[in-house]
Amino acid sequence: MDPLNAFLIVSAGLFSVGVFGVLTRRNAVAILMSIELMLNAANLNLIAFARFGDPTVLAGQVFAIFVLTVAAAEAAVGLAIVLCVYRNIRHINVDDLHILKW
Amino acid sequence: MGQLSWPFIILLLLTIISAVVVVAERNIVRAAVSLGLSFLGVAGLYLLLHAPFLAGAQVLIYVGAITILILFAIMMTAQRLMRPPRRALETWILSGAVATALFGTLAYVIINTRWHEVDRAAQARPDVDYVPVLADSLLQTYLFPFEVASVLLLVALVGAIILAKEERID
Amino acid sequence: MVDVHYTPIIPLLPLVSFALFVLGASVRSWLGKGARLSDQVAYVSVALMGVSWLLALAVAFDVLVLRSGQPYYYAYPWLSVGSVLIRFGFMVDPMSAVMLIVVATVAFGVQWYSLGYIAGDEKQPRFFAYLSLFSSAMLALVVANTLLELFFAWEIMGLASYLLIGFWYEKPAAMRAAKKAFVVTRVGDTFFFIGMLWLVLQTGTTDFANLVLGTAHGGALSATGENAVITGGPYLKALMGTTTLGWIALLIYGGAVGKSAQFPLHVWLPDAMEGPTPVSALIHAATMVAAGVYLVARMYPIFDLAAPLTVLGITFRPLGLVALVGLGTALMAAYIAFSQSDIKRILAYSTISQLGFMFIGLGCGGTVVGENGVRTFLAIGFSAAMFHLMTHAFFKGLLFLGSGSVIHGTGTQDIWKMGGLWRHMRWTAITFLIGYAALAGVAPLAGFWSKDQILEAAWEYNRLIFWGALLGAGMTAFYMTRLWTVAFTGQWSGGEAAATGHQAVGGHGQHDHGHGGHGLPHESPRSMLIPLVALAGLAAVAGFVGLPKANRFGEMVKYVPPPGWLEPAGAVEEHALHLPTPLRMAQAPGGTVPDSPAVPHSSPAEGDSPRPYGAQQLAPEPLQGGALSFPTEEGLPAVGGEAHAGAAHTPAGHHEVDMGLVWRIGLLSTLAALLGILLGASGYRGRRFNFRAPGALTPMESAVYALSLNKFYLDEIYWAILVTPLFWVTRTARAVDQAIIDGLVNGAGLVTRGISVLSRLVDIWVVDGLVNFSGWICGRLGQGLRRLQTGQVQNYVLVVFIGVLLVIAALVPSR
Repeated sequence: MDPLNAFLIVSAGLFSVGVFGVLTRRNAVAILMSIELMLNAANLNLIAFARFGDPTVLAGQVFAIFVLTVAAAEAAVGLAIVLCVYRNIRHINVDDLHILKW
Repeated sequence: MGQLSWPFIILLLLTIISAVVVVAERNIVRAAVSLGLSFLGVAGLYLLLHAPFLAGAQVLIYVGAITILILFAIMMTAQRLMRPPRRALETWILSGAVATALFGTLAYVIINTRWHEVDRAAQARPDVDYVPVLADSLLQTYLFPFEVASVLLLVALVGAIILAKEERID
Repeated sequence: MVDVHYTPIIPLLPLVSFALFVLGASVRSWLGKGARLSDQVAYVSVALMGVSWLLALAVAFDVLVLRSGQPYYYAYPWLSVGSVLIRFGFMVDPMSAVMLIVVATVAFGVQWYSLGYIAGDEKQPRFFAYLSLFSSAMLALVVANTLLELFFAWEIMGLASYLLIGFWYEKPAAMRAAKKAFVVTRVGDTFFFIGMLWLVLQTGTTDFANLVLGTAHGGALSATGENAVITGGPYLKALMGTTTLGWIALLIYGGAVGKSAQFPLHVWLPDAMEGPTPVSALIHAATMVAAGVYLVARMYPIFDLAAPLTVLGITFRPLGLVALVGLGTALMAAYIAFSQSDIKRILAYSTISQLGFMFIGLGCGGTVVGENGVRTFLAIGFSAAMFHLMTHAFFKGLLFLGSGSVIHGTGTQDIWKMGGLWRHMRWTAITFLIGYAALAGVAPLAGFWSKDQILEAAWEYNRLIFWGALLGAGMTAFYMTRLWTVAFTGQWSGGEAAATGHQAVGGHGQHDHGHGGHGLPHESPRSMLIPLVALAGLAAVAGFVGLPKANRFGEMVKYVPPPGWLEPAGAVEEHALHLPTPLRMAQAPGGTVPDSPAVPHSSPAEGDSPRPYGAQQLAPEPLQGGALSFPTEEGLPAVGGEAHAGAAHTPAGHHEVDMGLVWRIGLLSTLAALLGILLGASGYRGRRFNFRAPGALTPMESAVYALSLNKFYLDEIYWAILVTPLFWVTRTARAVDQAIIDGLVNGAGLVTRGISVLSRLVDIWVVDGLVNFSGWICGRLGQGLRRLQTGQVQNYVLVVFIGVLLVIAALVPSR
């Protein structure tokens, strides 16, 4: 099996697991964790392409660093939002967070 | 390339299994710890891909910072045990179906795509240190996005503080 | 130099002060400081009125002296209705000038007096606002150049009068009196208005320049001489000698009857005494009631140049009716004044009586058609009436202000509760005495001269009227003596406290000032006394402008019929050398005087048909034996010749004064006055006459007394024959209304209701059904679709991924 494809498939698997987590978890923090998995999958993808692409540019790795940055920011803000929500309604169960409905 | 190397398989299993634990474990603390494991696995995969700098960054940021952050959040929200999900079964089946279909589609696309591969000789080699190259491109070619990213971090920092700050009741 | 061109400012200044009061109050209330102005603003009003007074004096001086009677006329086109052009402007002829002096002087005096009188009243600024409005309207009326403008001012005066009579509107009596005054004068005003419209229809103008000045306005006016006098203007030429003019005159006279409180519309004036006393002095003694006299005088050509009218077989000339009504009013009011006990009511009836005298004067002037159809002109009546108007304004204003001072000082209006005021209110008493003597006709004072002129005019015209007027003069002296003796001499009888106690609010007392229960009466403040003294001076000397030998007044304010009017062709030759005509002036260019005894005889029967002015048709006609205008006996009218045999022919534009007649009339009137005074003084000295005591009178006498006390029962009669039937009519109309009109309306309502019930059913089941059905469908659909929106983020994410899968599935095979 082509090593690139192997990494890509691992990445796809990781992504799908993340998707599954996002779809099924009810805890907002758990959903954030699943999103981190998906971001990792994406990063893995980028770095795999960088490994098997032109090494003089390493655009994939640079991109991965940016994703890393965004992910860190996203985690910080997301968790702050979760805290905020928790402070207001004393739970973070997304099933009950549907006041935007209708 | 015919055979998959053992390190790859071990890291693959570590990553995927701990990821599955993350999404399936009811105890959120265990899920978080398992998330850290999964991040470590990904960091190992980065090493295999000749990206040591990113592997270090992965460990520092994801394992060291984000996992800890998530654990903090879990502790502050004080909800260790998750309530049994409503309509659990049909949600699980539907979500599983979607996730599986997604994986299948992606795998099908990946396998059936003929990647434009560069010459093997021109590929990155393990004996070359690519960190300077990375630093060069980061601080020259991608200087502007780099700075924007730093601003983004600053904004996220401020935003997170404001959001998470305990509102003082005057 | 202030000259006649300042005329427009005279009525404007009081109007400005009125506007200042009204706007000032509004501005204050906008500023959130309350609408009440401070009392000091009254000085603004008085100051503006003072300036207006000075201007009026200057203008009058200019017209009377510098321009030697030449009228001032200024107007600009204002409205054009069809062929009728109405000009808005000002006219000051000698009569207006005299009126300006009178009105401005009295108005100024009254405003000054009110400073003291109304001080401390909560509504003081309002009072001055009303006074200013009234003064403005009255001054505008005097200087109006058209009948229409005069009518405007006339109506504004009516409004101001209403407001002022009802000034203490919290008193029901004042409210009723104000309403009564307004409604009663309105009856007259309606006649006036109709008459004015008719006049416009006939002549196409209301302009005095066209109607009464004898010339068209403009350049022709600048000529002196004949323009100074009132004649029939050119627009009246076609109407001269027609009955149309007579009817118009009667209608306009109706307005004067209402405003000047002549019988039968006099009933409002006594009640109007509910208003504050300065108002009574200003409006109901000196100015507004005189406006009726002024109106008749202003429209004198219309009265004079009309043909005699025939109603129910009685033929009379319009001025004769004026005189007769005046006489009746004068006697009746004087008779009522005998028994009244309210000081202001006595003066009110006195005013009515004196206005009657003025109308006698007006009515006894003008042209008289002799038996042989010859027109004879009686000159003195017109100016005598205006003269009396002027003197009366001064002394009656004085008397009213004096009575205000008395009321102020004693707290009562009942003369029986006064007494001995001579000792306590010396200045008031002295001035009141002067006014009283002037009114009673004591020799050198103003009233004597003017009243004698009226008596002269009456003598000239009709002896019955003369004797009636002489009787009236005696009665005047009697009731005024009664008032004087009871209120000012003897002992102080304790005011309101003596009779009714402190709290009582009797029928008479407490009208003006609420302070019943005075101690001794006290003299009034200086601001009230100064106008009193000033008016007393005027009342004393005003008569000297119209002395019989040197009648400056009569030379200025006079009426001369238009040239040719007195000149029946042929008659001149025939009658020229007949009886001499003393005190008669004939306008005959040739210098010959056609004359005949001054008999107020009927006109020929042709008088009913319009006779274009022309000498031929005015030729003497045989007497047709129409009914007499007055119950004259054959011997009585024909006295002219013997009474003043020494009189000579009178050249045109002059009139010789028959001093013998003047002396005789003077003696007679003085005699009458003395008789009245003696009778009154002896009767009421020590209050010997007290007809109110039970048993004092025989039944016959008490009936006579009751007639006077109850004012001839006119109020009751009006109530019975006018108001009660009106109520009956209203009630009947109401019943009809309820039974028929309401029935119809209700029937229509029921039908409409039935239809609307049907319509409602249709609405509910068909229209609403459709609307509701479509709404229901939408609702159902929405209910179904709503389930898609769970509000749960994960469901949305799920859908997103399904979408991603579908996109990929769509893209992959196409590759």
